[in-house]
Amino acid sequence: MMEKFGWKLRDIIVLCVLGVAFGALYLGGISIWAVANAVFGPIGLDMVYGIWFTASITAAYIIRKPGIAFGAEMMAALGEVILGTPSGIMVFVGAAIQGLGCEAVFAATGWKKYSTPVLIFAGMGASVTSFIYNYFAYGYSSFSMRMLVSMLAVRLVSGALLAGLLGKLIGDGLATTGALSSFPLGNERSQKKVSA
Amino acid sequence: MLMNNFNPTAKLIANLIIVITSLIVFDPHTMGMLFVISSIFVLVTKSVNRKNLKAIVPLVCFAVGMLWMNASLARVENPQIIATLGPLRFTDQGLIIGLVLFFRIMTIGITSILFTFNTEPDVLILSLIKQCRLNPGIAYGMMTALRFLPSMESDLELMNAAHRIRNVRNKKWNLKKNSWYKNAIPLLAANIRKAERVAIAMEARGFQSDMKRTYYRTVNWGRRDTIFVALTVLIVCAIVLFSNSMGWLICFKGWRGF
Repeated sequence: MMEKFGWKLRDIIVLCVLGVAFGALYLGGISIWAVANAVFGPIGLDMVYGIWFTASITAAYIIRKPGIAFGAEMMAALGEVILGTPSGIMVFVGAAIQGLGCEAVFAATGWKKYSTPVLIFAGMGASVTSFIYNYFAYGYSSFSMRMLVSMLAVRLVSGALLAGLLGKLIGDGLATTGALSSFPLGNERSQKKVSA
Repeated sequence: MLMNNFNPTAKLIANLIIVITSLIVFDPHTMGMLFVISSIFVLVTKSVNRKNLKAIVPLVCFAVGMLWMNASLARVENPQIIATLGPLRFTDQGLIIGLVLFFRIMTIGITSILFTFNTEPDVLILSLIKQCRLNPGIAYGMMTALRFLPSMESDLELMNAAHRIRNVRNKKWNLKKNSWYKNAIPLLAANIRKAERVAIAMEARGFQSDMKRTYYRTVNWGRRDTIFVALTVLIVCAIVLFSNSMGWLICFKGWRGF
């Protein structure tokens, strides 16, 4: 897998570090979710759901290789499990499904385009796949159509903002520090600077 | 603490069996039994402590939320109203769906206490290499990243201190504490730099992610693990068969079309 996608050891280690850091962020997301859930009911889950795709977007935006979005989500899940998540092994299942949603959008561009709209669509892609999964796991079928549509809409917005835009914001913030000079995102930045 | 003695992969497999069964089954009796058996197991193995229980509180809130939401709002045919509370009308069939989901979510929570909370990270990763054929590059990367966690905490204190010296304030709220974005970016940047150094160091020592290698510490699969997984399968099968013979068993009732 590693050779096929051209992952270098450097990519893997950085991916793992991002995974653990985002795993910690994801656990923080659980307490935000608990609050949102208490205030808004189950739709609160859809509001914060986007947080749990951020690792995919940021890692793919920085490293820009096939499989990174999926890998980042799995690493974050492993990080979550090791740090202690309430959902236990289910996070692997959820992460695989979310990662595939993100990866599918990047795959559609041939892993070549990482513009803002693509990142937003990737966040929304994870929203769609995770919603289908939740539909079955948490028995959403008993809710009315109107409620389901509004839940999906909220989740799409959450995926676009919290994952797509926030993921890009984190990536850009990291690029300005110069820490990404050996990654495609950092390269792109420095080239822009030179030409400007 | 008994659970620490089993192979982590065995624990993961057993966990997966219980959780996947709970995702397929859709009746309160079978789900309730799964939950009760898992809870008994947690109590018997003395796996539970205050920290574990605190960690699953959000999940319990979610489960209770799903219970009342379904009891009052679920679309069901010929509902019998059993209670009213203000504008909410609780129906019997809605309550049943709610109970199923409540027990499903609680089973996920309780089994995660059993398995993931009682596993040492390094043992888990070594077991994933040996039993699940996880790529050593990723596995060692993960172990390295875990070593960064304690230093991330001290990095955070360092950054807060540095910002305090420069009297950086969060203007909008006028707080002395930094916004999380102001902390997250330098924290991640520092750790990415560190990760690159570690990668170079590993390559310099001849580490390749796809090499055949020996291990200082190996995690083995013993007879005990086989028995443990087999027993889990047996208990789950027994529950499903029992509720089938009682005529309770319902699978995948969730799908009902739009």
